[in-house]
Amino acid sequence: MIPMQFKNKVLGFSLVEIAVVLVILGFVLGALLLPLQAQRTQAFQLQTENTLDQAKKALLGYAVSRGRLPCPASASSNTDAGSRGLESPLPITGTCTNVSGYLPAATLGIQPTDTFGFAIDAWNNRIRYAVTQTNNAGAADANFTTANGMSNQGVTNLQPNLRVCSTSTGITAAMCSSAIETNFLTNSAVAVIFSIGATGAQASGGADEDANLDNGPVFVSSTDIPIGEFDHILVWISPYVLFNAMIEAGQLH
Amino acid sequence: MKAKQKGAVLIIIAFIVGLAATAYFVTSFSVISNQTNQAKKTYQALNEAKQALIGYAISHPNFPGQLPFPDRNSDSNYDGYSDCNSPTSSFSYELLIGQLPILGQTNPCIAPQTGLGSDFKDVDGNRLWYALSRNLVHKYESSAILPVDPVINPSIIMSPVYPWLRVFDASGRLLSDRVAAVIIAPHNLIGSQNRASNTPAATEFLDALSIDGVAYSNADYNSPDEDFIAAPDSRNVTATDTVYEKPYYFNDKLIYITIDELIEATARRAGAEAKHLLNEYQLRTLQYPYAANLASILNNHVSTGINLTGMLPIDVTDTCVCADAQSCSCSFNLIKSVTFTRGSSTPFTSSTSCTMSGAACTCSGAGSCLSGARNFTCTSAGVCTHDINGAANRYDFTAHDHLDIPVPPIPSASGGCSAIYNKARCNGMGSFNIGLKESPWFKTNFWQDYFYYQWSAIPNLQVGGKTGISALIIGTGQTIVSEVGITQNRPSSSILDYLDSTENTNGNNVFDGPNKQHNNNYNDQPLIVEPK
Repeated sequence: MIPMQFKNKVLGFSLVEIAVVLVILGFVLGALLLPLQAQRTQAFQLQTENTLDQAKKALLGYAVSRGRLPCPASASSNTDAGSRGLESPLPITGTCTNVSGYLPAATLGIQPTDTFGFAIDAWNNRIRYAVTQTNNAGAADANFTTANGMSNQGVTNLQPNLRVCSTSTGITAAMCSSAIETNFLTNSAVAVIFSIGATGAQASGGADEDANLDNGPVFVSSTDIPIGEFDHILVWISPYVLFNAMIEAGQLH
Repeated sequence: MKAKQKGAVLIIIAFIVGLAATAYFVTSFSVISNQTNQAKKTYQALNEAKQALIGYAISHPNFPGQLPFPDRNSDSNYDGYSDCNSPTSSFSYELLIGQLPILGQTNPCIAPQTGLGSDFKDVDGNRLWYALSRNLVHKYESSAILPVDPVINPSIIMSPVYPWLRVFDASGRLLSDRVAAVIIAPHNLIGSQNRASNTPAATEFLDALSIDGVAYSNADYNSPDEDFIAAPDSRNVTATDTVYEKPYYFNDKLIYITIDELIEATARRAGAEAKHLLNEYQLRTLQYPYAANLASILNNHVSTGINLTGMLPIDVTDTCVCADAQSCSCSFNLIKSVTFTRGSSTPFTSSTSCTMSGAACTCSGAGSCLSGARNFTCTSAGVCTHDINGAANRYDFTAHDHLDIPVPPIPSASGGCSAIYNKARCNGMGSFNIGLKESPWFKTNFWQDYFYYQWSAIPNLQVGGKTGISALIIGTGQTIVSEVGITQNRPSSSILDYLDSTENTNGNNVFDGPNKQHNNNYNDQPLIVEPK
């Protein structure tokens, strides 16, 4: 039997007090955790954007020092060993004819990579890369990926053809729209680098995302889309940014 | 015991206060970090747009150095396309400010009607704005107003036709008065700005600032007011700040391209063109052309004697000679072919290593054509002769693609030779010249006057720490007071009027490296031609 005097001394917090404390604690934890979750998502996005920017700079540096852009790395899937992050084919084994593939991180020496040497985004998906294979008034040629190819042509003859469209609606195999071309963000990119986003490992993300994965020269960077459908993150290299860097380095006339 | 239990409440309250403080700091840090990232993104877009604009200017096939007109609101849209003036309209400064022409150009803009190739936007999603100097645009006015295009070379830096743009900071300090173009991120609406209409005016995007009672606006370049402001926005100025005048209705972010930057980049294009021409010549003739004299006359670009140093010999590198109507000499290193045509129209009947067509025989190397007992023959050295009578016989020479047979006023053909459209025709004693075939823009902008040239049969030249060099050119830049104290004046027969340092002017084979810093007294820009 417990004495009455002791009972009075061990009175705890009232239910009201506990409730108030819990509510306040809830508010505080919510204030902390919600931004953290948003920040985590934002951090992944930012990290991927930084990786893509880093890739752009690495490609420009590669072009300035080698006089050409690298061929895309090849692999049949997101987990395949493929060319192990090296451009494919290597210049000693053949001419680059691939428009699309993966960013050749091992060739460029950039990080982070997966175990096979392919550059990866914040969601551990391999970063894609496409390079123009057409120039000189539309003639199919590998001058952008062949040593001295651009220099031999001269800047006035180089006409890169990669398209980035604002929507997949109306795109053709080579243009953002038939007849007079509209809906394009660029019609002269020399290279396109992109992440397949947070939902990359899932099934098709719609026509806009599918257009980026068909190995063609036409890409989509959609901004007006249903929430959750399109989350690819694309960057591309303006021909004039490349030309400026190469002329400054004495690699192009 | 009782006192300890009451203290627990205090601990819990302290814990909650700690959590709240942590939440506040995390949130505050997040805001600051976000602002920093946003500013970084905007400046990244601005800088990339700057590189693209410079790249556009220097890689233009016909007018290197010219910048595109902006995308203006006068055609009822901001569609990303450059809007050029009608050839029948007079010039207006409104033509020179608008959005970046990222997608292309509208008629009547000159070809190629390309855009900048990337969708440059500030972090708020607004397309970047752009204003440029009147000195750097193609002139679409009536042809009665000449010249049609500005001459863009180093002389334009100090001798522009119109004032360069000027950029000030928020305290009114002049940042540069030699600005070729400004690129501005407009950011979100401030003050009374309203962008709801289809074609808002520049004032709905770009901001104004009052400095010491003087109003400066980034939007008022619709008249010859070349002043722009690069200032921090209100977010970064505290309410108690006493330096910047209030109110803080300003959130533009501005970067600029100086004419010095643009000309240096354009000079690299011109240097690359000169290097290409020299190497093409060397590829066929197995040596570089002899240099033209440094001399006190204009347009002196004729290869002279056995000069290894001097000016670029783009006008004349070699001379071909006909000793008489029967014999002409012109190396097949210089000409693609020579065609001999009988004046009598009597056809040739057989040939060896040449092609015949009626009375004409064309040789691209050693070979001959027969017409009965008469023949026309060329040696591999390009000495061609015939023994066919007739005053109307003639030789027609066609230069290689990288070479040119100049026409007057450049020293051209004489005597029994005449030059027409990269071809020369001879029917008697005479001569004709051959020079480098530069792109038309090279000479219309007088870039040949801005390069010093030197080569050596053995690779004993040195640029900076790099040895083993056979040929080089040095961009001379505009005339300045050089490092060696010379007030340069051109044209001149003295190297001191072209190059700036002791190392570059002392007559030995060693020159400053390409990384030597430019300043008011040094603007030489070396480019190694060989090794490539």
